Amino acid sequence: MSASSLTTEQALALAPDPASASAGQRLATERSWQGLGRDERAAWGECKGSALYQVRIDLSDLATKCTCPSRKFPCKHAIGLLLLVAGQRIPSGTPPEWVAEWLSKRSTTAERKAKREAAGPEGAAPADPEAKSKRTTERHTRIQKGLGGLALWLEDLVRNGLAGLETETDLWNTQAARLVDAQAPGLASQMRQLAPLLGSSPDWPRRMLDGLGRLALVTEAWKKLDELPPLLAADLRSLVGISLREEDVLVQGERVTDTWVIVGQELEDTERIRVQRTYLFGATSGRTALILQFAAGPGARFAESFLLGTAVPAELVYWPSAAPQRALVQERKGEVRPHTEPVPSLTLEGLCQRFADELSRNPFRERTAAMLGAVVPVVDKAGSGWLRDATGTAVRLGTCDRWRLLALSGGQPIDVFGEWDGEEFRPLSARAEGRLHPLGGPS
Amino acid sequence: MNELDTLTRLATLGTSRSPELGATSGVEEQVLRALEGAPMEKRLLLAAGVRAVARAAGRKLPVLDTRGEVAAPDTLEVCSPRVSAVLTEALVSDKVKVLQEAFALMARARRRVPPELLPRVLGLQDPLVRAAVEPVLGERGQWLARQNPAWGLATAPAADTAEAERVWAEGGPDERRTALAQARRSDPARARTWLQTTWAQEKAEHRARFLACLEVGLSPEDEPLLELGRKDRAATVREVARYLLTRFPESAFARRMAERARAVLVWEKPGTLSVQLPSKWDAEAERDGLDKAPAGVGQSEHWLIRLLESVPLRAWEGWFEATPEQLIAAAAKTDHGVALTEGWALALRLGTSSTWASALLAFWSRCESKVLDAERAQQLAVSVLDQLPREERAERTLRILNRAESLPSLERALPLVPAPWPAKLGYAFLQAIRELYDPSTRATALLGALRPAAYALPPECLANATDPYELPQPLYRWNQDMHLFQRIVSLRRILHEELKP
Repeated sequence: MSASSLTTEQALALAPDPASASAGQRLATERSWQGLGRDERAAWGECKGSALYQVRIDLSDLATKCTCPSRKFPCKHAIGLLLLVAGQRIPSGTPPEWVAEWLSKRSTTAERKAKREAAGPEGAAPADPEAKSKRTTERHTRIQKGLGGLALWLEDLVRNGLAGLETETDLWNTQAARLVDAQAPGLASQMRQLAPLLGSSPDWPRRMLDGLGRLALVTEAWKKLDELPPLLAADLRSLVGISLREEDVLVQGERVTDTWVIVGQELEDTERIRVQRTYLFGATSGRTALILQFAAGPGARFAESFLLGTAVPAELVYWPSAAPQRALVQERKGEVRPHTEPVPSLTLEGLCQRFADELSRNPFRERTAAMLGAVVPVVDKAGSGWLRDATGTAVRLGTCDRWRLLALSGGQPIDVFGEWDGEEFRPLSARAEGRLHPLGGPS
Repeated sequence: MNELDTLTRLATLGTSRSPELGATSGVEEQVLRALEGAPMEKRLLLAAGVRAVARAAGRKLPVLDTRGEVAAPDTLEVCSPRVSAVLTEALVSDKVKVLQEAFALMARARRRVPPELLPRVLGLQDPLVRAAVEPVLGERGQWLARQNPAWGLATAPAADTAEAERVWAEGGPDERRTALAQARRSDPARARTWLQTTWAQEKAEHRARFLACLEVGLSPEDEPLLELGRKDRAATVREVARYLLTRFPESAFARRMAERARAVLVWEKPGTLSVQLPSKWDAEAERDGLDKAPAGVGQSEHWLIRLLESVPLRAWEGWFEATPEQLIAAAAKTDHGVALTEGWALALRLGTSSTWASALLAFWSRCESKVLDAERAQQLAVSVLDQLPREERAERTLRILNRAESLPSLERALPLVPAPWPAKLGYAFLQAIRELYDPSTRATALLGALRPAAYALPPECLANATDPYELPQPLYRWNQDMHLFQRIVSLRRILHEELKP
């Protein structure tokens, strides 16, 4: 991407943890560097640490490389250089040999990878089909047992009444742990989402019953997994937590080549693992795709970097689904560029229509993501936030940086991207003055 | 619980307690009927699940009658992306002084804070920054601030008089002092009346602190109250009162002290000074501060300082028809050189004078350490430098930096020069830093001043200051300070480049 479009916030967002971000800031000054320079493709410089480190950034996908021994990635030196790029503080120049070499090596590697993938799965070692099928059956049986237990537990709950629940907090964790043991981690996380509902709003019993009812639907559907249409069965399997391996996705999934705009992103940071959720919007196809990336352990990196408000031509492969959403990047086909034009948006009615359509194909879908066009964030007398369109129709606002959303709108209609679960619309970004701004985090 | 729908009521109570289902309709009714014969719990759960999906798909959106207020269109242009990047970095790393300067420069260049940074900017707590940010919030920022009571702007009407009076009557000592100081700024007479009415009930320590508040807006009408202070039981209160009374040469106290001082110092032309102290003062003089010296201070030294600090310096030049240099040269020849010059140095508070200041500093520089120990010389020099106008402080510091003067030390002088430094001092400072090679006292002084210098260097010096520079190896322990210094100056440099008026 061109050096003029990377913002300081985006550069900071690339840091693996707050410590690296602040260490990078300390290095974002010319005095820490020598031989700073950049051209269309790359930026580089030598950073003076306990030794002289050669740092380089491929501006086309913001990949970085540094000669320092840090295990964090990107390291503080790379963050420092990214910040200098964002601050437009690097003079133009011709790349020195160590930069040119790296860039050409990167291009070769990409080509080789493409070739290897083109060769297809024939190159891979043949799996033992018999052992594989045995493992699948075993797991299936274990899940079957786990879900049976879940169904009984759910029935117990409504037999004794939700009114008695209020004080029992460990209940959910115990049940979630049982589901993990039963190799159904997807349902375990759904179960954990129910716990905070307790007493959260006046209509919590209804919302709790909704959630329990949906879990009951899953236990019931699982019994008839073999009778379901194949794509819906795939959805159910992934909901329960049997994820398809990426190799299998590549073979079975639908491929879509488009220019993909990064329209929303959020990072979930827990003790053990960081999960990055990135929404892409196909400029031509109008399709939405969700890329999930996981990084375990401190300083671990995400395989792909995506910057909000940029676009990249790429081939995506969707996980097989009755209403495809999750995808992986099969191949980038060009440079990352800033995307300043508006992204096609939905009306509020269109949003409901879209979710109804997706639910009709996959009733287990929890939420859909969309860009809402020309809505005004307003706060009603009770202090609740809404997104309201020109007719007065409104969706309830979910958790987000509400003040930033208000600041961006100033009471005027703006485009807001977010997730809709049928109850609340949770904004992830909003478009103002030709740029997408992140809105994740609490208000 | 009446407003709960049938399914939710049943689930809340529990099927064991309430086996009756009640009336249903819609999809849940269809599911319940389809599952007839299955256990009630299962029917209930599946009906609820189906209903939840159907609801999510067929949600009827409400129509709001609330219409938000719309922000007025902005007339100021939003600041450039480079300035925005500096603001973001300063906000993230909490560099309050950079923000303050940025806002001032933006106001001058008629630029505003970009909308996405407004919530963080409005959340700033430091009162100085809050005041600086106001002109650059733009219409959008003002509008946003009105939506969140926690962001009440600095322009909120000042606390009303009745509230201030209540604080004065009922508050804790610190609150009361703040209220008194505030009242003194807006209405000196009212503040005086407040203090007069409560004077007799105040504790000694509070009397001294409250009385000191009168320094702002001091006028001859304060004399009666100050006279009460002069006769106070507590020495601290008397000292404050005496100092404030000397600020009026016309006050009875100042006149008495001037008369006594003039009688004590005897001048013979062309240049001889002698000191003729009485062996004992009368009772009134004692109340005026000519009392027994505290432990460790000579009796005559104590009296001379008390006398001389109460007399404006100009008076001596008039009475003796002599220049400050002549007077100090003559004082040097007496046995009381240090006491006389210290008294005169304190008198600079009553009216500053560069000639007196330089003559005093020159005298102390020449004093041997037997006569005036080095630490005391430093303290005296700092007190004198502190009384000089900013340009003269900067000039003297520059001469100290260039080794043309030695008092006060570089280490003490540099922090006394207020921002912004004159360019000459800035350049000399940067040059001197680059010439350092070992951890000398000079190095300690210069590198110790990096922090204030980062904010005090004037715009002309910023390009020079951002030139990459690595400290030589013996000075590595200052590398972090150097680093922070260069980070701050490079941010400031961008601001000054981007926000030219």
